[in-house]
Amino acid sequence: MSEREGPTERELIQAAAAGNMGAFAQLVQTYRARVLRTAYGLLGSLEEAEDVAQEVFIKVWKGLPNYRPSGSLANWLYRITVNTAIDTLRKRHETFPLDGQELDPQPHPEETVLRHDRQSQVRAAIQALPSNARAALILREYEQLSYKEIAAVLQIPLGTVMSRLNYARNRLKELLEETS
Amino acid sequence: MEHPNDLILQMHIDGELDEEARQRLQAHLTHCATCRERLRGWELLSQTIQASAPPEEAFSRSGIFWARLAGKLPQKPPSPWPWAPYLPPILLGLAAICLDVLLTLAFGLSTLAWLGFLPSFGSTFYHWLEGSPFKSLFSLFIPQGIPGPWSQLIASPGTMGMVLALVFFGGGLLVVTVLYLSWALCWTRLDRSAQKGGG
Repeated sequence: MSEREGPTERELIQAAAAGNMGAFAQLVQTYRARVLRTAYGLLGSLEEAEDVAQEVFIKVWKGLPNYRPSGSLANWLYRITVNTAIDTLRKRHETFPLDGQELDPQPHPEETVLRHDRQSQVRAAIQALPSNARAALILREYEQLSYKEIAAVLQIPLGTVMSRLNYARNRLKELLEETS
Repeated sequence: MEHPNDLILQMHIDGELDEEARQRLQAHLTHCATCRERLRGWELLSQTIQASAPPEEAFSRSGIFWARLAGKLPQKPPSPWPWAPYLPPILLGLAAICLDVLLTLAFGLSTLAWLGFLPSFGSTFYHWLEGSPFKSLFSLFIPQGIPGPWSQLIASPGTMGMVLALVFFGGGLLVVTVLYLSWALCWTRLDRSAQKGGG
């Protein structure tokens, strides 16, 4: 007797789009960690990452009825996550400066690097990168996306992905050398 | 081969080099200690970044996350056809317009026939009905035993046709109007209950 496999992702998407919360819960379970990790990589705060992840899944729930799978669901989720996290950064920058490059009166990420252990140093250095370079780096290093997938998520040319990654890694290397 | 630039070394680590380029780089690395060292540096950086990714346990547990999320989700996702709620009034309105036009035409043609400009509209309609698929409906309106002077009047096909036209188009208009009002009543009730729920 052959075992019936669980519903496919396509079936789950269709059911969730029709309002089935159980199917949506399974999709959330599948992608929750990836969304949280990406949001955390971009924001550097667990609390904000949780809020962004919640917002992402609400947007997905609302957007599913109109979702036409031209790529993978994961890529769509990553795109929403990056955009939502960048929006959160913008809101944050209404009170704090941009990307650790301009005026920075109090908690500069590069300064906080000195105060924490190695992993915290790396996380703080990542937060000191410009958000577009950081997004490419997080998608590559945390999520193991290929250059082509990163280009699709960020909707930028492949060459731009390579240059952003190269910039991010070189800058990160400098920051970590300064602090070690 | 010249020393590869950082971009090539990073592409190699990311598995993005094609087979030919990868083999050329491997050949170069076998005899270039400097580039091996540079490659090792990028590998180390990549590993360091990957190690800085927060573990899943750092976030709230799946159940807590879902419980928080489920409370914020609208019960039903928005309809893919947002204009669907407006279909009933549009369709009923169109049906009412059609019936109204037909009723006006029936009256107009009857008047013209009565004035002698056209052959009897009532008779034409009566004979058309006799041969139409609406014959069964038509038979419902044939009076079987009408008393007094009415039987004389309705016995004429011209008058009978006119009466049937009035019954069909006027009755249809009445049905459509009742449906329209029922829809409006349901809609306002739904709207009120939605407002109560939202408020």
